[in-house]
Amino acid sequence: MIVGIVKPSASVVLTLAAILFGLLGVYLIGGRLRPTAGRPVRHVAAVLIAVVVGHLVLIGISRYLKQLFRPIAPPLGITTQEYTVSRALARRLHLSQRKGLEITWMSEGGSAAAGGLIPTDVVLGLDGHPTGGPGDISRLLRREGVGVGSLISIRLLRGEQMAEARVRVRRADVLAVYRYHLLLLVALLASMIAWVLAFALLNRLPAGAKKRLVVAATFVAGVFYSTEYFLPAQSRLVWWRAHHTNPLSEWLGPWGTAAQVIAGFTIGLGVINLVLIHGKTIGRLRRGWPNSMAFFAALVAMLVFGIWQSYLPEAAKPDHLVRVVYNYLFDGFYVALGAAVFSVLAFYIATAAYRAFRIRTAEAGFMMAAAFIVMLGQIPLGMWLTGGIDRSSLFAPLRVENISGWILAVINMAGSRAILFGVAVGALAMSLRIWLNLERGAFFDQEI
Amino acid sequence: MERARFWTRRVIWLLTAAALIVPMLVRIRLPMFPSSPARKLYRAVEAIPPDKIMVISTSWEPGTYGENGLQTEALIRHAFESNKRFAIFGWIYPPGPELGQNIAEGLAKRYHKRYGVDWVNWGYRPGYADMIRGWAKDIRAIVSTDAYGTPIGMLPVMKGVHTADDIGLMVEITPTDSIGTLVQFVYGVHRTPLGYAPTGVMAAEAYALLDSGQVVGLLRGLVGAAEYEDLLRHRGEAYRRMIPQSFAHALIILLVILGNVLYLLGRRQGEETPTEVQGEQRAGD
Repeated sequence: MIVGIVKPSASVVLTLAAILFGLLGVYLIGGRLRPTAGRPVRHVAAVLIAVVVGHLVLIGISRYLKQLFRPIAPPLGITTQEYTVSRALARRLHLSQRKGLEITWMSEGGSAAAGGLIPTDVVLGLDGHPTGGPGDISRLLRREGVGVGSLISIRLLRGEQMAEARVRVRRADVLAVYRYHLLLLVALLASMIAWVLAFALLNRLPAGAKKRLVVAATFVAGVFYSTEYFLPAQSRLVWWRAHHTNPLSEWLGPWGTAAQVIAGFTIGLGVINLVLIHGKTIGRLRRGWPNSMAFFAALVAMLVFGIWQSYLPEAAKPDHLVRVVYNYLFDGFYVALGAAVFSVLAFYIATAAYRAFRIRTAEAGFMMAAAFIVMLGQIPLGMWLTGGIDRSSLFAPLRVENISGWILAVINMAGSRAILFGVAVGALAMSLRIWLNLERGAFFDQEI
Repeated sequence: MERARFWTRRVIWLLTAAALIVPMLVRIRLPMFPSSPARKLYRAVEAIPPDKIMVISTSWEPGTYGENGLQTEALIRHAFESNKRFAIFGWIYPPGPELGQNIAEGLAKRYHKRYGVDWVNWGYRPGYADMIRGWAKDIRAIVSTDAYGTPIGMLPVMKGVHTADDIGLMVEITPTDSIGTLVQFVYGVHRTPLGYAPTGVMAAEAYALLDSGQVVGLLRGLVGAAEYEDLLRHRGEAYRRMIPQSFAHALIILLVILGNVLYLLGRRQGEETPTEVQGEQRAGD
């Protein structure tokens, strides 16, 4: 059904959907739907951005849906990875290709397993066509129109010997993929509905009740984690013996999964928050709005190409356009810009060193001397300065790296340990205050 | 006076740039002696038994690539060279595992290692301490699939790996103090050996953990990566970058001395030095 909607009239549907996205964008960015006199540029810009964004997102979604519901057989119930045959073996076996796909896993009762293939076999070709890159098996099966009951001839490398296998595509593989994707969609929709209902319910609660709910959840979590941590793994208690372990520990896994979901939501909230703030900045043409535009461009580009390259099997190939663009965005922009911003610190540290570090007291003098020794002890130039002292001689402790090591491992360590103790005591007190709802001020007193 | 401040700042920036760029262009060889904490980490990697996996926790972002990236590279190189299977894992910064993956992919080709057999990428898992507690107890409950969606039970590299007890060494590579969480819940509960590879500024705090045995080895920022390269008998990128860093450190020492000499001269003349006031008021400038 979904294929039917997306495929035949894709451009019309996409354009309509993009206009809808555009209107949503105007609402989010402009803050209202009606035009504002004297500021038409705001709305034109908002509509343009939203239409482009909407188009890109919908193209990505439609590609994914097409991929999801394509009526072809899955790749034989196996997962593979690229494999390169050694030159010597390729020469000995007279192989014209060195690239293949090694089977890393196969489903029990799947087509490949029934055909006698085993994990670690390397698939070199299908029905006379070579396979060497990610997605090659899916692509060949699709191109050849392979369906349930089709017989495929597979050329493979087993150990250091060539072999041939004939595999009949089984219904189980095809159904398994459809079932998996349908279940995934149902689960996604069901969880979204459940979350919307839960949020609506929470929203209807009076402010006091919401707070009590948060306090109760914090208290229960605190009881669980502290009890689990301090209860011994082994105990002589009768009811304990049946488990041979602390029974609360079994709940750590599910709680950990729940923590992942909650943390995932916080990331999502962060993104929504950024979108709203930058959207308003663009909508009202506040100072720095071009920076907000850059934010949206970066967000959309990474989102679209990130999702695209994850779900498009062909994109696993290093020379595929989507993969190339994604790598360019990640390595060329994200990694390079991140490192560049951090490296600017070096220049500020240099000016601060000249202007801010003043020896006004004897203690400051000691600190500076220690800092110089530690700095010199960590660089080859410093090691070179005392390189004349033999490392096995009586004077070896006077080498700068040894003095630096001593300062760090003895004097610094004692100070760090004292600070760590202080921090630990403070954290314990703070944890107790939060756990028992004694903390006041900041957001603890705010209405939620 | 304002004009003098303006030019002072620019001269310092120019000197810093020169101290960093010139040593990159001129071939300079300086000595490098691995420190005791780096040796300890090296020995801990060597001591991982074959039935256990090594976890390389890439809790860093591109901003600290210059330090954490090269530490990751050195550790992965060692794992490949000594045939230790390992997992890349991220739980602080989402891009960490992908950055680690890029490094591992480059080295895997060189050492003819296979993904899924010799190494795996568990991807990023949010949830911090709560997640880590569950993860240490049951790895497969939290990391059910690898970074590409393959169920990890299907990967040969995961054979016999179920809890933190099956980890031979976990190395936390990070600019943060996340090691504290691992000390509490991974070392504290399971006695899993921990290694720590922080950025240079975070290293000083780690000596208390090293002394108590809660951390078995330590790589201190870029110098740690360079020391590790030396232990691997492969002086590479980290060592090359230590040369410009040497000159930048030397410049900073000279600038501190120069600033204090001018400060003392100014005090002797009975006037407040402009550099001092400026430094306090515009520390971030």
